Formats: sequence, C-alpha cells, structure tokens
Amino acid sequence: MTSRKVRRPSLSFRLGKESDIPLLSGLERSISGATVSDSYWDWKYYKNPAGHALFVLALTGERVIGRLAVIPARFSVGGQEIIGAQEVDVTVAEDFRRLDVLLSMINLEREILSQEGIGFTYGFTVDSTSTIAQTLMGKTKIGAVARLVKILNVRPHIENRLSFGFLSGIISLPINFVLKAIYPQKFETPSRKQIRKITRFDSRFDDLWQRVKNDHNIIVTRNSTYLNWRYVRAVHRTYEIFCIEDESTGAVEGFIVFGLKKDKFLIGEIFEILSLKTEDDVIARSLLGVALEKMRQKKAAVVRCWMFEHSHIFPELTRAGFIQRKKKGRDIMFRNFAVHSKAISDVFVKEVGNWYITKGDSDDEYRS
Amino acid sequence: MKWREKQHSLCKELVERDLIRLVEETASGWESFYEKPIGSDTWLGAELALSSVDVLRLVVAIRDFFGNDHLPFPELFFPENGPVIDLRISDVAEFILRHDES
Repeated sequence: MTSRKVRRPSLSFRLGKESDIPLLSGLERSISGATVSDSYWDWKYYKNPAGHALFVLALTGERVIGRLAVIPARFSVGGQEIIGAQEVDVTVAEDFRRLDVLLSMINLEREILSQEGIGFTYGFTVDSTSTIAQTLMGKTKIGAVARLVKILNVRPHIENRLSFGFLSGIISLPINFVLKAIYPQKFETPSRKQIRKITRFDSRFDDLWQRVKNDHNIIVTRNSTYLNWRYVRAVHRTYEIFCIEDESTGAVEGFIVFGLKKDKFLIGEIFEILSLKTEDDVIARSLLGVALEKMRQKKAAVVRCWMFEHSHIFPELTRAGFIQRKKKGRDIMFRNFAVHSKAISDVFVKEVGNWYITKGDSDDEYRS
Repeated sequence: MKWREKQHSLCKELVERDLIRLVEETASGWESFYEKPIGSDTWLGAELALSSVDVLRLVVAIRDFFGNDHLPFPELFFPENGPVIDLRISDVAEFILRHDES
C-alpha cells in the first residue's frame, strides 16, 4: 500500500520569465535527478527564432513545484505559414501531482496561448500519457510516428545480455556477416552530385526549403534560420550534418542530420532527412548511406530514426535495413485553440498523411 | 420545487452516492491522509489529491458503471464557459446527469 499525503500549502501560478531559468534547472534536478544546464534552457526557451517559450510555473512559496511549457514553431500548412507551438516539459513534483495543480497550469497556459495568438499546439506522447491527453485534455490523436531501428553491430547487444565477453564475439561474428550481406554497406553518390559535410545552413537551404515545402501539407518550416538554431547553435549536444550538392550549380538537393549518444552502448540517431519527393529517391538513399557509414565508423551499435510510413523516405529506410519497432511509436497529439476560427481544420489535421515529422521535430532527445 | 427539479435533485443524490463509492474504490490502493468522509462537496484535487492517472481510472470506472462510453470528459475538465481548476463530486454528478438527459 502506498501512502499519499494530501498537502494543502497555498499555491500560486504564473508565467515564467528569463530570470527563472535557474529555477528550471533546480526543478529538473529535484524531480528526475538529471543535471540540465541553464544554457540548455536559455537555448531552448529563449533563442528559438520562432519566438520565446511560454511556460507556466506552479509555486509554493519560493519553491517551484511544477512547470508546463510550449515552444513556438513555424509551420507550413498547405503552403501557408502558421505559428503553432510544441508542448514540452510537463513536470510536477511528486507530492503535487494532483488534478487541481494540473488544471490550474493548463488553464493559465491556454489563456496565455490565446493572448499570444497561437492557434494550435502539438506534442508527442507515449502509450500511458496518450490516453490522459485524449480523455482528460481533449487532444486529438493524429497517429503514431513509426520508430525505426537499424542494427549496425550486434556484439554490444549480445555483450549486454551475456556475462562472458568472449562468447559474444563468437556469436556476433556470423550475425554481423549476414547483416552486411543483406544490406548494402556502400551507397553511390548520384552522378554530378557531391556529398559534403557542413557546419552551418546557408541561404541555399532556404532555396531547398522553398522547393520542398509543397511536398508536405503540414511540416515545420525548415529554413536556414530554424535549422541553424536547432542543430548548429544547440548547446546540449553536437550534430553532424551532410548535404548533397549539384556539382555545377552548388544547389543543395537534400541533407541529413544525425548524432550519437552513449547509453548501454553507442546509439546513432537520425534527426533530419530532407529531399525532394520522388519515386526513386537516390538523394535520400545516398544521404542515408553516408550517415550510416559515419556512424558505423564511430562504432555505433544501432541507429534510430522516426518516420511516417506514408513518407517517400520510409521505403529508403526499410531498404537500408531499418526495422519498425512495433507498439513503440510516438503518438502525435494536436489541439486547436481558436474554437470559432480554427488555425487548421480538424478534418485536414486528422489526416495523418498530411504530416511530415522527424525526430528533430520533438524534444525527445533525453528519452530512448 | 417543481416535479422535474425534484426528480433531478433525487437523481443527483443517487449519482453522487454511486460516485463516492467509485472514488473510494479508485482510491483504495493507497492510504489517504484525508480524514473527513467523502461527500458531494469533496474536491477531487485539493482534498483527495487525485492525480491525472487516478482521474483517468475514475473516468474509466464512471464510463463502465453508468454504461456511457460517450461521456465527453474533456468538456468537464475544460468547459467552454470558463476554466475550472478543480472538481467536486457534485460537479461530476451534474455532468453525468446533463449528458444522460441529452
């Protein structure tokens, strides 16, 4: 039997401000034990080119016991730009996880979003939070983004399960051999194109965005300003970026962003892959090939990626050996705020085929 | 009091009684420090400290017990006529009756 003490200290709720950043790091530390630097919150909440985050704090005296945040995002919806916001960082101290605290924070957040003219929010949930979001908060479930995984080297997986290290070497050798035989290791660069590693997104990526945006009905605006903030100026981790250029004109035809993180073994994560929609996407195939090769060289055991099955890139991922993790998708949740003049029509938004989402669209990086 | 109001009041009392039982069942897995008996004016959040997971369990129990899978619970938590920051047993009973009548 668990005990639950009903606490009734007076609570207050207010909109957070930049000077509250140290409180956010403290809240994170006290709840999850994680150390998150102030510079991370500054980057995420205050350097976003789409606008600064709106976050609600719940306090008892000086102590922050809850936080609910949204970060604005520019969307291209049917080619038209609309400001929405991603719901992130719902955190409540364990002894205050109760209905009145949650409702108070959500109501204040709604009021602020409405004042700021943000028409809709979206967010990602797992199975347990998905039901709460729909039943209690009236959010609309759009669909589950497939989470895909490709094994580059089985040895670390086997080592993780076996106590005898030498056995894992023997077992993994033939399995790795078969994996290499089934899935091609090298990918050719298309003729008259070149693949280049870059460290920032220049104006050519704005040209690519203009060409690509109409391929997708609902997509976060991936112009150079957004991409530089998201992947170049990020302070919490480093990303590798490769693009494909036309040899003669220098025009960018597509790009990929990936990164590595250490868990039980080294994990590669593809955050972004963008190319023009074609039947036979040699650009995406080449970019995937480069990324996988680089991650293999760095000894990643596995690579993870998110992609909707309807995306033109999905077949390229399965061709490269990515397997869909059943029942482990992330649900996208959506909520229109403007009741009478909706930012996006419910019918349009509920059609999952209209959406393009990658791992980079979420702030899911601290979870598996 | 008109006949219809009397009926409504009687029904509400019965619904509240069933709700109190459901809340007690939902809360049976933990030892509550809330010592007063649960009544129609008891707050689910501030007094019973029900978490979102507890509330979700209660929602499922209400749907099962009252045989209504279509109760629009988001309207209870986020009504169009203004925000609510907590709910009493009587608010939930009113909501169930309203949607039972419609």
